[in-house]
Amino acid sequence: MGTDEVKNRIRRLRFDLGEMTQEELARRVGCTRQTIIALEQGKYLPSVALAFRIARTFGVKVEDVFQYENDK
Amino acid sequence: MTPQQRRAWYGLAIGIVWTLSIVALFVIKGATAFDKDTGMRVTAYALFLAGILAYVAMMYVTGWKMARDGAIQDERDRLILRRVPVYQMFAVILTLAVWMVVLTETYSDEGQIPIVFPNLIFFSAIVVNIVFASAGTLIAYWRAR
Repeated sequence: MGTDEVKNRIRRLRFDLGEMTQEELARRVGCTRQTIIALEQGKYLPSVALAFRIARTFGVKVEDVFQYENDK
Repeated sequence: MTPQQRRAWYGLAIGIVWTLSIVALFVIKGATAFDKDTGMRVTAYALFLAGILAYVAMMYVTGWKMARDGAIQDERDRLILRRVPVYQMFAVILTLAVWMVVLTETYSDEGQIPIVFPNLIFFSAIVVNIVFASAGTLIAYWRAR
């Protein structure tokens, strides 16, 4: 089965989008700043809906924000 | 710190003061005074109710402030808060187990326990349940770091 891992580029995309703050991103996608911090640190996997909202905020596809990796 | 964590800290503070007040009353007056001293019994019930009222008032005021400030409880918060009843249940079961062991070991020769203890068991179960609504929230957020 292998080990599932989901990485994300939220921090990178925030800086690409005019150094958007975590607070601003949180406000735009409707979550708390603590959730953005947990996402960036890879400690929390978002729901599909939140993943789409984050991608849309950055104007990219979900796969451009989140990358699924499996070591098998 | 999320608004839920802040609320949990307030709840824990109330819970600690509440617990210490009840414990202090029983330590000062003695547990058996509960049976004989009507004033002590009334004070104990009053303290018990005051704690519940203080906790409910705190939940109401913080809830009102959170709504006023537009504080968000997002999906991660909800996921974390779903674990809190598990901590509450564990704490209450542990409390009941401690009561069972202590009372059995203390009063096994007599074959009966003083009538004060059903009250104390009930008080403690409710107090622990409420305190662990807050403590459990803080533990759940701490574990989700």
